[in-house]
Amino acid sequence: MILSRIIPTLLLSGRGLYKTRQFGSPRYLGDPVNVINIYNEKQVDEMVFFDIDAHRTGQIDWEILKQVAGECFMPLAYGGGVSNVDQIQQILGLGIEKVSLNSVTYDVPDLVGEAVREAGSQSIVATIDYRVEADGSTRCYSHGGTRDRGISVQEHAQALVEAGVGELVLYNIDRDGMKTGYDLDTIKAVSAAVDVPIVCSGGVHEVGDLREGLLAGASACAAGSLFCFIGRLDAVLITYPNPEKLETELQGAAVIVN
Amino acid sequence: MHIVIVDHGFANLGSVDRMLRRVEVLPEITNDPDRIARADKVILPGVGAFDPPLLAMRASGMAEAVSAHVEAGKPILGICVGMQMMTEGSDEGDERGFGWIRGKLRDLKAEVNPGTKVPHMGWNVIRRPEGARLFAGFPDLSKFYFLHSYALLEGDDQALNVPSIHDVEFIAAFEKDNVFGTQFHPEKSHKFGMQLFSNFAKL
Repeated sequence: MILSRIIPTLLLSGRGLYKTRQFGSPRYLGDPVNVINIYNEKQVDEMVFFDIDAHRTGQIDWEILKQVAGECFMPLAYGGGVSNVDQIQQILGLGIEKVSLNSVTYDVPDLVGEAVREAGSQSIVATIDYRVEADGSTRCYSHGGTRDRGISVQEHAQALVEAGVGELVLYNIDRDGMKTGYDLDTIKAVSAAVDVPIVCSGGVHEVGDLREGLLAGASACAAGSLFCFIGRLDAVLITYPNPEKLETELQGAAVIVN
Repeated sequence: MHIVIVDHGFANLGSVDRMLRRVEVLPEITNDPDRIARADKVILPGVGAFDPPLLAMRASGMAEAVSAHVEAGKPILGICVGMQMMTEGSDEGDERGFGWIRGKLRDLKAEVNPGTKVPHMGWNVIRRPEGARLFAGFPDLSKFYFLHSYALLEGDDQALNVPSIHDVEFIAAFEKDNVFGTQFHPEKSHKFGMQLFSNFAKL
């Protein structure tokens, strides 16, 4: 048995954490280490940490990654600018459990299999950023949502799973920060088609949305706004539902028995 | 009290070190057998494969220092592969374990139903037996973070065994006199991990 996971997504830009809307309009939340310390106190299941500049700069900020890894008393996944196996080994060596690959999965598809062979599928996650077209079909984007890759989520997910990735993050760009709820259709379609855990992301407004994501077939639910804003005016408040409340709200959807 | 974290080169020491500091223990991280010999308590971490940390410890004298520590009756806590090394061996490797705990690690993949994912990765609950010193103050069914592909299926009958289930029942933790081990990662299990380290420090 593995318990399902509710995961705050942290977006790093420069030296600060931000929350985006549709991958744009970054809003400053705070210093990464401070934010992580708050999540430590709140018994967060797991965190995902994306460097949203790295696809442009081509640089991984090792200093901040090391700080974050040491302060984080929970499992952590890192994504952003990862383009070779050496970097992956170095990231895992810092005590970060998983490395997320994104743009490189389109640019150098062979790297995925190589990464899985070197690091094991449990450590390799692929994040698929995508949009839903007017006709309902899906389309993958890379480089922070700026490059249309001309392939559907289902097709790309299939290829990634065949290459051995241990987990897929499905990130709906248009729902990011918009509080519309998850894109349940895509979650359902992809989780039915592949046998690796799916993490859904983009659109959560309230705890009930997490439940919907789990019921649609996700093994884990990621969210940003839910864990960093409060009130109608979106005042910044780093928060996480207390575990008892979460358990009650997710009842029936929260436990996956293998 | 002097707690030493053994640095054999195959472990992530950062979060263990910081979590101990969080519960007001200042550990020493060392690969020096003489420093290990002076410890009141030892923490033996480990990630990755079974053989490399054992080979490194045997080549450097760390293995002897740790064995002397255990024979002297002083407490030791093994984490993940560090815990696995306390047993007699593993299907994963050729090296003999320290053998303080009877039994051998088995490949989970060969034990579970085909639909069950291996590695066993994620949060899972444990059953807390009465009298477990490491788990004093814990509710039954506390959750911890696991990441492993090999598991101890049959515990040492001289030990107090803490079971968990991933399709099959396995030993999530054990206590035998001064030898303590956790298959899970307390340093990644936030408040439950902190309490466990705090309990170990107070033994």
